[in-house]
Order: sequence, then structure tokens, then C-alpha cells
Amino acid sequence: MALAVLGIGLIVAPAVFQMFQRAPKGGQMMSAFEGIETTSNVEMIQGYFGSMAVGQGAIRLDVVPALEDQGMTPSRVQSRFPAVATLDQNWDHILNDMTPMIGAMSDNVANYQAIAALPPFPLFPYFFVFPGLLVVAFAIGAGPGRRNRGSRVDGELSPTSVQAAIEQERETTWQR
Amino acid sequence: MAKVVTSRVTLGLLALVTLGTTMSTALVAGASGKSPAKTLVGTFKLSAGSCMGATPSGTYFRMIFPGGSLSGGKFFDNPDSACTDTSYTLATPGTAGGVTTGKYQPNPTPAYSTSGGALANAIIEPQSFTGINFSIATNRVDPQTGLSVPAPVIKVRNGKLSGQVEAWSASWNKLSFNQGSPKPDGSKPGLTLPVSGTYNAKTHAFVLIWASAVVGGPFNGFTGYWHLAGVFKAAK
Repeated sequence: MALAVLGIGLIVAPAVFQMFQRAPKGGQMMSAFEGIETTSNVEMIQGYFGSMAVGQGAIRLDVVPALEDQGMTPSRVQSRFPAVATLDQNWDHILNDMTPMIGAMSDNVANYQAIAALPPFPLFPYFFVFPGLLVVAFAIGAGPGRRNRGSRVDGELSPTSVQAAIEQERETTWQR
Repeated sequence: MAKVVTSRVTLGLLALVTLGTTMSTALVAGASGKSPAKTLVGTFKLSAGSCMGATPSGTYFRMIFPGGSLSGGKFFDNPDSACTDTSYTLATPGTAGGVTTGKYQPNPTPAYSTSGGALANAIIEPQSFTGINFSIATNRVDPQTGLSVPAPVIKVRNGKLSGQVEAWSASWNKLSFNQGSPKPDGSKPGLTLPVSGTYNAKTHAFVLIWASAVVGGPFNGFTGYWHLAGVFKAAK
């Protein structure tokens, strides 16, 4: 009985926890990150960061001062090149966001690869369902109906137990 | 017969003299080689980095991209560098004048400005790196790895420096990067080089060099190359 309950629990669990809907989404997420969470990709983005820093540095340290040297006031530079001004103003925030993101990407390459090595996510619910079915089948196979066959239950005599008793009686008589 | 004996005795004496000379030379050499390393306790006062000469001098550092080499790079360019070759980031000494051995020079509280610039200023003055200040501290617990680390130890033996700077921690953009050698777990990953250098006992001038691979974070796989120069001042 307990086995049957356990088996049914395993069969029902994926549905209860919405695994049939969620597991494929996990699979989609793993596929989406497949081309991102690699060491070579992280190194490429680290390289982009280096290039961006050099570019922003050139704007901040070379271009803007050169414009100011030619008589443009800082407010004039800002109005004439608003994108440059916006980049400069937001550069710290860009770094504040970008570098931890690269760090998170880099630190999770090994974690991603470990999870990617698992079987496909959409199969996960069936890892509960199939064992559940097996447990239920076993519980049915070893159920009370089957156990009664060929064995004594609650004082009743079964054919095999009668046979065994007769043979034991014969042996005792022979020894006498 | 007597002639033979004389020549043999002479030969024997010569062999003994030769053996004795060789042994004494070896013993003298061995004794000098075994002179104990002396621990330099005090402050390695840093000279400010400079790009005036053909090659940079004083105190500076460079960052090598993953897959690069210490001699050939590829090097990370810091647009805020004062050098023509912007892969050199120069440092100027901080309030303590430099790095102190035998004790920690930890991060202040808070360790960063609101924009993420490092505020530690004992060893070096915060320097701009890609628009945000970075600096150096040595903390009892390494901020990146969370491991306890010993205070820096530098030893001298026959004018050559060695030791450990496991606690050397770079701060930048609200992030910490262990830049020690060896690393806090004692390992020397990637291009990590042990501390080496020279020391002049008369002038106390020193040059300290090491390299340390960045493990984890946005600069994972990069290597920091550190060149510290200046004059050692012993603790009283």
C-alpha cells in the first residue's frame, strides 16, 4: 500500500509542481546561454570592455579637450555632441553595470557547463513519472492477491501448506 | 727503490694539497650560499612611477590579457595612463609611503566612493583606471576570496629579495581582485610569478617584482604585473 502511494506520488509530482510546463523553459534557457557561457566568449567580451574603455578614454581625454582648446565651451560641446556628453556622464554607471555582469558570466561558465552536461531539461518530469510507474507496477505485482497464493494466511490452509504438512507427517512416521 | 718511494710520497702530498684546497674553497662557497635570509621589517617606501626614460621606472603595474605572456602581452591599455604606452599604469606613494611588511594596511570603511572608486590610500594614492579609481590594500581577510592571509613578508639574501604578498588586494569599481603572490590558497595559477627583486644593503634601494593571475570576476584570466621600486626604511 505504502509503495503504491509512493509510486502515485512520483507520477503526480511533476504535474503538481508544473514541471511539464517549466522544464522545457529551463531547456530553452540552457539553449539560449549555449553560445554565451563559454570561456572564449567571456574573453571576447573582456576584450570588448578593453576596447570600449580605450574609446571612452579617447573621447574623455583627447576629443573633448581638443574641442575645448578650439574655443568650444563645455556647454557648447554638450549641446553640439549630446551623445558624447551622455556617454561621459554615464560611463561610471556603465562600468558599474557591465563589469559585474562580465564577472557573473565568467564565474558561471563552469556552473553552466556542469548543468548543460545533464540530460535535456524537458525529460526531467519523466524522471519522476517512469520510476513512479515502476513502483506502482511492483506494488500491484506484490499485492495481497498474489501473496495469498501458495501461503497460509490468517490460519487458512493453502494447497502448498497442506502438501508440506503431509510430507512432514510421512517423515515422522517413517522415522518411528 | 728510494727514488720510487720519494716520488710516491711527493705525489701523495700533492694530491692532499689539491684536495685540501678544493675542499676549503667549496666550504667557503657553501658557507656564503647558506647565509640566512634576513626578514626586512619596515616600509618599502615607493618611488612614484615615471615614463620619462626609455623604459618606465619607479612603481607601476600592467595587465596582461588572458592567453598573453608577461613579456609580450597582449596588454590592457589604460586610457588614463600618463605614459605613451598606456599599458603602464603609474602609481604614486600613499600616506604610509608604501607597503609595510609584518602588518596590514587594510581598506578603509567605506572602501569605495559612490561611483565605485577605491578609497584606500595608505600604500598608493588611488589611480584612475578606465575612468574609475583603483587602489591597493593588504587585509587580514582577503576581500575577494574570503580567506585569511598573512601580512606581507619580504626577505633578503645576498642582495636578492623574496617573500610573499598574499594579502595584496586591488580594489576598483566596487570589486576586489586578489593580486598577491602566491594566491591566498598558496597556489600560483597561470602566469603568477613569485616575489623577486634586488636590494642594496648600503643605499636600501629596492626593486620588487611579481605577477599574479586574476582568478574570478570580470578580469578572470588576466594577469597583473607589479613593479615596485624605492627605498626600504626599517621599522624602529
